[in-house]
Amino acid sequence: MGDKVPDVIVAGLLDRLNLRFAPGDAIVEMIALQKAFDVFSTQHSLRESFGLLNLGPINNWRDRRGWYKYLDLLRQRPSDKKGVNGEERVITVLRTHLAKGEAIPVHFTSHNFDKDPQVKVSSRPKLALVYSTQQFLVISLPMTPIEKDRAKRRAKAE
Amino acid sequence: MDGDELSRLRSSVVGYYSDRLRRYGATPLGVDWTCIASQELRFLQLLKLCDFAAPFSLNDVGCGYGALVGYLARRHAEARIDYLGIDLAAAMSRRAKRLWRAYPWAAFVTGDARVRMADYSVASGIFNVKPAQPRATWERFVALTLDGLQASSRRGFAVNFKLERPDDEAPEGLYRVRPEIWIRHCERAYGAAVTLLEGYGQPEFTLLVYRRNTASRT
Repeated sequence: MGDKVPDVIVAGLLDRLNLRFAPGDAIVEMIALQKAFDVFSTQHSLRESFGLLNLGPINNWRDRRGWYKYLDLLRQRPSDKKGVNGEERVITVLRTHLAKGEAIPVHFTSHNFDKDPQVKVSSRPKLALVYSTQQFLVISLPMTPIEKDRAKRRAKAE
Repeated sequence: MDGDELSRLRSSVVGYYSDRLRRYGATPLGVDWTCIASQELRFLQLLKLCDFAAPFSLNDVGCGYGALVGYLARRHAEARIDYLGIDLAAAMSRRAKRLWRAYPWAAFVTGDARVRMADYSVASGIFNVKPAQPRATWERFVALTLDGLQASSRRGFAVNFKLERPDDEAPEGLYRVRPEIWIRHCERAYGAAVTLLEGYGQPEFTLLVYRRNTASRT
């Protein structure tokens, strides 16, 4: 995932996110946390909000720091909303979505940064999983392979 | 419950949480919670017991690494609280002492609910993880612990439980229960006034148990 987090742990990381915003108890908890503590707010960075929710690698602090750097980097990425950066887009969409009270679950996924550098959010509820009839709000994060990033850096240095 | 049985149960509990602490350190995972926010959502419910308008003493039973101290310092900075964190696991209370040494109003000891008399006691999540024991044995332990909370709380105590739901079998090692059992216990055994809190975003419930001579605040 760029030069921040080893590619091999990204799927597990997205799974962790998806479990915490999953249908049932998980999304109900997230709504309650947002209501009680305003977890997703423009007063906090996405890194702070995800840190509070322990949404990141838990067994390796280097990966965790890398993940937080990636979240910070979203501030420099565009989004599918004009004039709104990637970090702000995630924060505001989660804030608005969870405030609805009976929010549908959220599905985090990734797409190729080289093809589209924007953070993308589904404009309406979507079937995100082929094996499920559950509808989700889908948030897609731009990512690149770690090796590709390293190669770019090496080429620059030479 | 005889002394041997009690000490076996306590050893299991101490072993379980000492292991969590070794693996995850002084973090929510170290005391078996998902994250700081979900831990604090429980504190928010439990502390509905307390009248923050006047100074009070508070026992935090099963305090772990003392996360409640951080919450109180941030959310109730103006309150005057004499806080004592109590944990069966010596490793937990040692860690908590180091972590919160800059907070003169907070102290920590190893022991059970009866260590000292306080205005209020709270206990978060201490009954959720059930060692490999029959349910009836664990419930005797729960009752004994509630007796301790009652005996050491001048005004009342608050405690939470995982909620048992129909068609939803608890995973091995977790204790889930319907609220009625423990509400009835607190009303009959202690003559207490009990307020039930539920539907706060967790599959669980909180009991605020007031001595009859103190008024319920909710």
